[in-house]
Amino acid sequence: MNKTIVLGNEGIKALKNSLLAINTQLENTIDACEREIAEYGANALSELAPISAKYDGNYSGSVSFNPTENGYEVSYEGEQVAYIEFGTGITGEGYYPDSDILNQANWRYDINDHGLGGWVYKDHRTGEEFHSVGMVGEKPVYRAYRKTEQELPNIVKRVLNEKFN
Amino acid sequence: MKSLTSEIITLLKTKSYPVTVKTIVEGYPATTPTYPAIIVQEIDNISNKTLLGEELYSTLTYDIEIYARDMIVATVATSSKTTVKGIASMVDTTLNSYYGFKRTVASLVPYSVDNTVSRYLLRYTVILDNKNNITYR
Repeated sequence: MNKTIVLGNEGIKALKNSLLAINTQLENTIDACEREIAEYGANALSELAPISAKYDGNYSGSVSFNPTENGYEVSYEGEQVAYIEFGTGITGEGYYPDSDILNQANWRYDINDHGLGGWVYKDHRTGEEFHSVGMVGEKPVYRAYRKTEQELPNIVKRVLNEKFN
Repeated sequence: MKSLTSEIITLLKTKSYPVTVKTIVEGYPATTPTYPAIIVQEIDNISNKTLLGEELYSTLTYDIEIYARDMIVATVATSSKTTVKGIASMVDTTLNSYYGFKRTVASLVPYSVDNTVSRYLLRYTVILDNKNNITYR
């Protein structure tokens, strides 16, 4: 038996309104997902980054997340964060008995022949002197990115459940 | 566990750069490198998917650091920054066209012990199909 179903004006209006409501709900959900992901990323970065006191003679940075035009931005800011993320460059030579990190990174080369003695630098703000043999990149931003990427499906799942349940 | 480090170094050695690159090595060299230098480091090698103990896919991440001093190129004084950027551009084109690497960082970064040397860092991530040697972004 053939049946014909006609969607009248009222029905079309109701359908349109339902679709608009879903659209708004989806937009809110996407916004919530973006915020949750950024917040998770910032927390992960805070856990991984040396953000308090001094680190290997370097000042550490601060972590924040802020809304931008296209979503959110997680920042790790500070004078020395480039060294913490990317290391001090090709420095140091030989075996470092006190540093597993340097040894694991096969830290070998020394541009100014500092050798095991490392070098001393003066903090330009305090005048305080510090000793350093350089440092390998701790990569807190990269590691936080990886951690967030792995958690992404769970974050989205949680937000969808909250919004549509 | 597969790594592309040696392959990348071999590939980069076949390329022509705006200036002659004198050192292309893995990690920090044991002897003083001659500038300009390219340092290739695998910083991550994560197993993505395994089947019956065999690693099918892995995510690899590479840091490519370029170091150079100011130099004279064809009687023209060239700044270290210009040199590292020119070399980085060639490295980037090569790794993109050959492997389809996804670039996540491209930036001048400070070099702590010698401010006459510029340091440029490129970071790439790629997914490697270990069985078929195919890379995915």
